[in-house]
Amino acid sequence: MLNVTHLTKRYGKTLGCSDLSFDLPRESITVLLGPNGAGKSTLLKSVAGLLRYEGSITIDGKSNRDLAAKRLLGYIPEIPALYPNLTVAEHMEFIARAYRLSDYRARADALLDRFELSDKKKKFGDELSKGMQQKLNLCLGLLPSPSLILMDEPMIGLDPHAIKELKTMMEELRRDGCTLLVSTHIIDSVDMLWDRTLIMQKGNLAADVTRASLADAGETLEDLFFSVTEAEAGQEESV
Amino acid sequence: MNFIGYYWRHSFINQVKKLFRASILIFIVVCLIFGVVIGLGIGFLGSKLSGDDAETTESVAEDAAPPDSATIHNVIELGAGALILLFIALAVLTADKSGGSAFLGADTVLLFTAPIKPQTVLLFRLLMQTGAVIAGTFYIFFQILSLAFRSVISTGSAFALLGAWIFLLVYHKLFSVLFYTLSMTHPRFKKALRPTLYGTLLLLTGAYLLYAARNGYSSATLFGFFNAPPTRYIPFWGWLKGAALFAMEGKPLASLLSFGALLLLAVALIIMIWGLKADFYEDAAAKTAAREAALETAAGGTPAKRRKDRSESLRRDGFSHGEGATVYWHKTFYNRFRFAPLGFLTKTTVTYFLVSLVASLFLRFGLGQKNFATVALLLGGLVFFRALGNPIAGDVEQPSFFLVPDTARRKVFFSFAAGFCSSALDLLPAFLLGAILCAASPLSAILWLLLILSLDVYADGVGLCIGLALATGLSQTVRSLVQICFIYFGMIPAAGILVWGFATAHLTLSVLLVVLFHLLLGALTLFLSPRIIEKGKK
Repeated sequence: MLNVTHLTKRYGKTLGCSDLSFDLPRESITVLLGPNGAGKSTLLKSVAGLLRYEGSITIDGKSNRDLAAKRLLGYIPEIPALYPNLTVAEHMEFIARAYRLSDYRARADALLDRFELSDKKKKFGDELSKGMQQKLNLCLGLLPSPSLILMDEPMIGLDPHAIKELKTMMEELRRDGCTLLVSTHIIDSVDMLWDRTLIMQKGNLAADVTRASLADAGETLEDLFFSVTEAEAGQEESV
Repeated sequence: MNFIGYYWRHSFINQVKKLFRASILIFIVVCLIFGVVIGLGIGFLGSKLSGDDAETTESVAEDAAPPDSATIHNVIELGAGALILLFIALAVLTADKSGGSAFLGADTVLLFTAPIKPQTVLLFRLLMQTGAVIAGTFYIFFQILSLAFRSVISTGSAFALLGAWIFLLVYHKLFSVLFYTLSMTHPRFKKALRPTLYGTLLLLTGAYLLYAARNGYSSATLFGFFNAPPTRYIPFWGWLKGAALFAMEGKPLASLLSFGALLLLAVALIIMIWGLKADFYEDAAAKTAAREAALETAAGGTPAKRRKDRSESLRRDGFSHGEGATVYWHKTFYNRFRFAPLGFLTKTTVTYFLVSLVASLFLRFGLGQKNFATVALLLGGLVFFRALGNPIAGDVEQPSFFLVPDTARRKVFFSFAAGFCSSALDLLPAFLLGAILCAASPLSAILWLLLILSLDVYADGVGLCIGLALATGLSQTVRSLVQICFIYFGMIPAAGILVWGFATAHLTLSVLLVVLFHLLLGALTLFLSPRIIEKGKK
């Protein structure tokens, strides 16, 4: 579903991502782990078409810059952003029109209902708390029923009910054939969900494991994360 | 494009709804009606008096006979041409920023990732801005229609003027989209853009100087060069001038043809923009994120981070003056003397000085006149527009404002007084220079100075009061528009008094009345503002 080949992103002299290559199949949840500044958001933004980069990114065989590829993509950002002068319901309608969706009302209502925003339909974007803004951004990202969903720290700011609902929804989405790439710092929050994990360190792909391979090695995700990230830090210190 | 209309309609209606949440609205509406009624009334009086009592008017005018209609027409055409050039120059100079700074955070998250062409997204945001600008300049519509209403110009001319104004704003946005898209996608184009503009302006100036060397330096030469009939056939610049001016000259067919040409050019530009391969999301997203972070920081009351480090030679300690509310007075002057070269020459002082110098020299040597009123009006305009920036709000919006142990009344007063005195210091050198170069009479100079300073008091006071009274949920653009509209309409009675003074040979009295009017309104609003702060209205 998602193919990334030799992706390199530079910010001036700083390297955001260095020669990343991987494939994500359909019906999978891939977790993107890494310390601050490892390049997780850069990778997600590059896939979302928000950054210029070297290399190639395709979604279902189409370049991620093509409008046809964008139709398949859903992006939920780390920092929620809404229009201050549109209400919750108007945001849903606006996105439906931007994506030229038809028969979306039932889905919009169901999403708002699941994230407990049904009674906030008339609230303006700037009247919602940070957590509610994040919930609405999730609803907006999921409204067009995308096949590839990028989530950048989606659980930050959410209340326990919303986190539980999001996890359930992620499993449902996978069951429905979606591909999810989820960036997070909180390993515990995704421990039961993932099929595959990519660990990034200083713009590089430091580890790429599946749940089965990790189980065979008798390791936990947390063990792997610290062994990868702290080993490199230890090597640097000894040098 | 369905989403564009949806967004425009709903965000407009919601802004109005939010506006109605402010209790001050009733007060604003009453004042608007008051301003419109008085403005129209005085307008009628002015036009009647200027028509019936031409002799009286002549006796008051400082510079002998009033200009004839041909000169007025030429000045209008010259001004229109300069305005159009200014808009194009602005589109070029801000080419690398206009698009990037136009977006909201939600655009980058919701629209940049949507299956929509980047040009459509850019056009969407710039169209919203154009709509806001057109709405924000509705007073220009009012003035133009008022001219038609008073039979100064024909109804057709009024509509032509309105059309030309809208075309100017739309073209400004189209050029901004075009230049921004090209600049972000082709670095070579970006590099060449500004030098091309400067080169063109230099060429134009050179051509004019050559022409003037042959024909003499006078206003007639200036008009002869820039207003020559063939200039109206120059694409865009000439067409836009022609669209309005042909109508005013009673040539509706030529005006319509100019409008037709403008429409075709706009369509061609849109097709061209659509065909471009655009790649500006990274730049725009970065700029939007930086701007949103700065806005959030400002809303949180902490100063935004400077892009450049300040000079190491600056004094960095020693501020130990004042207590309670007076710290606002001392802070303003401590910073003025610390940051301005020689402790005095702020950028504003230098700008005013240069404007006064260039205007006075141009009047004296370019047009052979010593009309100080023009220089004073220019400086008044600059002071007024600077005051629209609501300088006191910088202090009032800081959370620390509430923590300073003093009354809100004293804090507002000292913050205002410091701003006012600083503004007067900025103005004085430029004002004196203009008065000397134009050989203005001392009485005239003092009257103008009083008028400008009272205008500053008025704009500061009214801007602060309205800003405090408006609902916090309103966007910055709407807040600014309401403040500007309110200040503008509040000035209509003052303009009426001046017209009355000019028409009835009581100019000195009318200026003093206007000064009094400004000071009274300024004092009233400065009296009300602390009450709004204490009420926790914000």
